[in-house]
Amino acid sequence: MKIGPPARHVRVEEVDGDLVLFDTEHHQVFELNPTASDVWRLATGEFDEGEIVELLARAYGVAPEAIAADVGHVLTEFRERGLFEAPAP
Amino acid sequence: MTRRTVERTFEIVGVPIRVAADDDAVEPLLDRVCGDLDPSADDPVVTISIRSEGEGYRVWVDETVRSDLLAFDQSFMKAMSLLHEQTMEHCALWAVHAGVVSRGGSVLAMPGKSGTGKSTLVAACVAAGWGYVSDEALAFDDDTMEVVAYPKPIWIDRRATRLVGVPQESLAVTPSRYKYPVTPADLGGVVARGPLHLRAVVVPERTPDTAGPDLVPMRRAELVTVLLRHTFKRTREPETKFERAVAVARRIDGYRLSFSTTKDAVEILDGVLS
Repeated sequence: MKIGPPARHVRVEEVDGDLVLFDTEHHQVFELNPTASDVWRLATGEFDEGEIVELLARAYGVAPEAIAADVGHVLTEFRERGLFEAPAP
Repeated sequence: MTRRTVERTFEIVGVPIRVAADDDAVEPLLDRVCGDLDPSADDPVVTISIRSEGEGYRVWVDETVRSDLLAFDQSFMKAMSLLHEQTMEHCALWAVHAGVVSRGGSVLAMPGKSGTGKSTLVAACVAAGWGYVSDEALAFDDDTMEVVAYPKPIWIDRRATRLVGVPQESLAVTPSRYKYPVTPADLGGVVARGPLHLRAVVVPERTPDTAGPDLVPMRRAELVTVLLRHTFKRTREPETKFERAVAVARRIDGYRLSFSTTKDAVEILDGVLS
């Protein structure tokens, strides 16, 4: 399943390399750590979770298994907080 | 007993608000609690009034009753709470819940929830020579970063008043025996006047077990969240506040301060604006 794209009610700003998200529906703000920021940048609706893990592993120079759990955790957080567009029925 | 109506209009962060009471017993309390607020000759946007009713008092906002029947001191405290509520309701500036002090026109704001030792820290800063801006709100224009003082008194408990060196006779006039209104003059200090500009935000956290004070720079992304989480809900247009918070965070410095004693914290804060 493709991940993303970001929900329309989420605004994003980059500050000194860190991403900050603002949920305009619930008026909640989320500051992302570097890994979460990279995951968010790839959550465009083009890639599934495995592909995101692969892309990041290549970028970080590590084995995919080393980051898979962290990426999964971040994606779960994003989903639970409603930060992605709802999948089409 | 003869009662005389008392009316005072203040300008608080640009908002003219009137306080009225049909009992002149309110005068010494107003002198004590509102003595550092600027008087205003403008028509008030709202009037907070304490009106006697039988054996008690009720508090009104214009012609809307906003309290149960209360004892006089309680009605005064309720009126002061409503004064703050209405100030935030009508304030055109961005207001962040924070203790605020200044040095040489540069402002340091300390956002935080009640009970984090923020008020005692503000009082200790004023006693150490910082100008007093507010113990309630950082009110500022986020285009110019100019800060407007909101110098209501600092409310601290008896132990804290001793810690920061308040002469105990200053506490005689009070509407509360739990927390006492302390003015900058009680601390040998003054309200900051003249152009004031926001330079830094410090989030204080009292950690009794820490060895010494620790001041750690905050990522600007974290500063954005701090500003937004402590913004008074009524004061900003929701549709622009995120982008504005980011713009502010890019222009100031942010820190987290952990400390065990107020004295240590004040000493380390001295270095923040230098």
